[in-house]
Amino acid sequence: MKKIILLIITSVFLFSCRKQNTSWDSDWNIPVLNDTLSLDEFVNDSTLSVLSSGIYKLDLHRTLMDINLSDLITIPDTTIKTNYILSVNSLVLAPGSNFVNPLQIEEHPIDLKDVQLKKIRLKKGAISLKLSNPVGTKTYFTITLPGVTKNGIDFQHVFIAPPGSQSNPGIVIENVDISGYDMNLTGPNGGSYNVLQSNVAVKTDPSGPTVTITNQDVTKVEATIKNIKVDYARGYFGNKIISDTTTTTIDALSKLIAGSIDLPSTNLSFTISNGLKISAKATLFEIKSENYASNSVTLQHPQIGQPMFLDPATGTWDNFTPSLKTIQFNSLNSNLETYLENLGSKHSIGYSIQLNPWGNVSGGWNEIFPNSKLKVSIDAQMPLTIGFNGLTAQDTFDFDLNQDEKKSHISSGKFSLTTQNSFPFGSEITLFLVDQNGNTLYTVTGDDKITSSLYGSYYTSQGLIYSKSNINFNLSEEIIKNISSIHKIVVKAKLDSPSPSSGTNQQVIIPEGAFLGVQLKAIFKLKARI
Amino acid sequence: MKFNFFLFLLITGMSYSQQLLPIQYDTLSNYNEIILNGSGEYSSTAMRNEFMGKFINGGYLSTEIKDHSFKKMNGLNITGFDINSELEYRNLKVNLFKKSNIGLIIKTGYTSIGSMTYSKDAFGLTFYGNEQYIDKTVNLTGTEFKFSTFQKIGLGIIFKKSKSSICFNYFNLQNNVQGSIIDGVFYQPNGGFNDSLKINGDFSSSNGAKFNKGYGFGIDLDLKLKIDWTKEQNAYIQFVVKNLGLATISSGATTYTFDSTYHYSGFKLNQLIGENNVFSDTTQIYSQLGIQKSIQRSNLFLPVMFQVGKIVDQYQLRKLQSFFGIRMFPTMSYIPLVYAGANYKLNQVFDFGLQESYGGFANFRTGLYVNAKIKKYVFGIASENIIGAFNKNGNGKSLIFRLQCRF
Repeated sequence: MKKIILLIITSVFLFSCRKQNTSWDSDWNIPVLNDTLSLDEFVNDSTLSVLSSGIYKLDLHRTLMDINLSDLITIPDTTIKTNYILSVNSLVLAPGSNFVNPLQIEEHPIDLKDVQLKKIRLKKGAISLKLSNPVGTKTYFTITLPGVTKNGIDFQHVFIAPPGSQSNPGIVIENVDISGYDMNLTGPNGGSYNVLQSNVAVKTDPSGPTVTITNQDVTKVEATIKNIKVDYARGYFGNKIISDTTTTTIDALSKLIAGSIDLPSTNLSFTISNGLKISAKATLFEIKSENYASNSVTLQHPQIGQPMFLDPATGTWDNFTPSLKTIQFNSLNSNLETYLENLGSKHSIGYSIQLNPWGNVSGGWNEIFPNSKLKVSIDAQMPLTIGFNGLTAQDTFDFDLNQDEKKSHISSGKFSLTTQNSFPFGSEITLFLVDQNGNTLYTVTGDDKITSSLYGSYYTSQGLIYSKSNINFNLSEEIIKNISSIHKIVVKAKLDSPSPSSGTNQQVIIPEGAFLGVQLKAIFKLKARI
Repeated sequence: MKFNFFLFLLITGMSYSQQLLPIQYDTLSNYNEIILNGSGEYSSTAMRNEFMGKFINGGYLSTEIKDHSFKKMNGLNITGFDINSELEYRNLKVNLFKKSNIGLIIKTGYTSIGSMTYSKDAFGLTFYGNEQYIDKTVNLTGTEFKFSTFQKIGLGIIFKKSKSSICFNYFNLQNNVQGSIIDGVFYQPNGGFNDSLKINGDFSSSNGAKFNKGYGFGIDLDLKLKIDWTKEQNAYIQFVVKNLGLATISSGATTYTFDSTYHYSGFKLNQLIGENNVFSDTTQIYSQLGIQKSIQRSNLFLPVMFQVGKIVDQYQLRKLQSFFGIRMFPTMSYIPLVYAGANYKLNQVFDFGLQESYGGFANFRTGLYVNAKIKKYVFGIASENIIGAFNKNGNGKSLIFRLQCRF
């Protein structure tokens, strides 16, 4: 028996011995990226168009400012409170007796600062009413707003309040939609502005009991006009100044780090469209770009900084014509090419627009219709003929691959990039492998370049000339060994547009349908360990 | 220290002795006995020893080693292992239930068994990678595997005269992993840029790191029947059932099921850049793959073994006796194994045996054993695969060991 126990103890001891790992190598080929990049998505997108000659044209249209009536005319929520008290000590009210004067018109001014509105149409809005009845029978409140009409009929609503008392009045709360109403704000005599009129009549229930009201009883009307949106307005809209500096960032250009481009002559226009029946004065006071190297170029033109006067739009409602003012920029009257070749990723455009620069000279006849807009836009046109001189862009991708050589791990590998390029420029790609502190640990250069289509052949299937390239980015054993230290990959692409005959960079025409087909594979050897 | 699987087996006496090392029937019925049985085996229909040896014992599987096994593979192949030991105490002096014919058995045992059916392509994809299958179809259909490790402790009765016994066991389920691919095709056309994977299958693993992930109950049965063999002599047929029972994974099993066709041709550039790139939300990828995950308590059949065959009669006067039989593991990837052999009784101490078998985790194998009876001890050692024991081109290894002590 002792021998058996000894055998068992020995076996347990041996079982605890760990065997060495089993390992083997296997070869893997994993597609990472498979895409075709083209300019097609920008065509008919207010960015590019195609000329009849089959080449792309920059046909850029961008709106920098677009304001309408609701941005100019704002009517604040307004609360009107009116209390009605008997002028005698007491009064016995038979059923159906009026006790608030039905003929009295109340006037309520609306505070709109220097804006003097005579007529508006409400696209949206509501009146919130709270009515308070101090007598011991139901009362009928008839609310009339003279001058507030729909289809020519004044706003009038009857509300029934429950019986109440002096200390515990009967309350009715109602919300009335006033969308679509026209509102005449000229007052009872038609010569004023910003004035809302009202009439309130209150009578006891015709079927109710006789009650007594005293001069201690208060009949209250509280009305809040709220959420008003106007789609037509007439009056004097004040001396308002709209001033802004709009900053536009072009993300693609923010990736540039070096090099330059060569552009053909270009036209760029800056247009202000006044769809309001208001005189205005506009000033374009600065257009500036800043590039990757923080170099700024300010666009120079005789009209920059000078005021332009805009006539009111003509016509009414849907049949009106905005007035336009346009500044044309070209190579002859400005430094436009220098401005564009600065490759600014950040553009700032400063402008101001003043309404009624000469005051209320229209007799209060400024007018804004539902489709009236005040717009500022830029337009640019040029054939997409560009020369690249080592233009270098870079982008950064996060990377995280933790390896433990004691476990299954990648032992060697490479990225293999296959391209089909029908753009007439080529590119040299370099990878920078960066640690978590931003230090470049390794630089991996492709063993070839993406060649320009001008070095390629014509392929009938695509109807284009394109070149094929295959580029390997070999990852050394040292890189693989330290791959856990790599936290970002910076991809740098240097663009050139060389002439096949001279080898020097030239302006090249980008043909319609140009594309860059990209297929990226990770090819690696995996050392499996179990 | 390099672990030596067979040294371990030799010392622990892990052997499958009651399966192939022939049981010798005797009629003595008034003794106590301790039997230490055990076996260790791995074998394959296609993998060669040089591959399996490195895979089990550790080491580097070179391309040459992989090639040798890969070239032998058919459409579907089987590889399996079985490590098994049992310590049994038999008391034939006691009269259980006041019956003079019934004795007591107490036993404990350990089993680790695994089997895998796999396509040639599944082996190739695992050990060579996908590069050699670019523009080719990889067929994974029919791949399945199951691995179980459990311990048991049992109490039973033995009929003193026939030596038939039945034992009721409690099982501790240490681990269970299983999976299958009912339908699986992987295709990588266009230079590997238009991959498609059609797969229908599941994978399940018992949860947790603890020793006890479940429990079960089952029986071991050993019936010995005396039959007329020739006019002059009788023979004994043995019917063995081991580990017939059910277990529950009380800690729960995580099961992944997948039944979808996936297509992948590389990402688009806008999927890789920006904050909303495809890697920013891994749960989305998981969901897109259509893999359903569930965690639940589950029941399973223990890897039961059936064996029936003619065994050697110790009291036969003839020096040469035959033995043969069939063995099955219905819940495993196991080809029904048929075996036949001859036992030669050299003298009162030594018996030798030679056997041929087909099936199990492999194809044809030749076995050899020696059994020695010295006073109250019986010592047996055997191999079901004697060629595999010495040849790197063999299709597996096997070692069987038994130690009996009567007192």
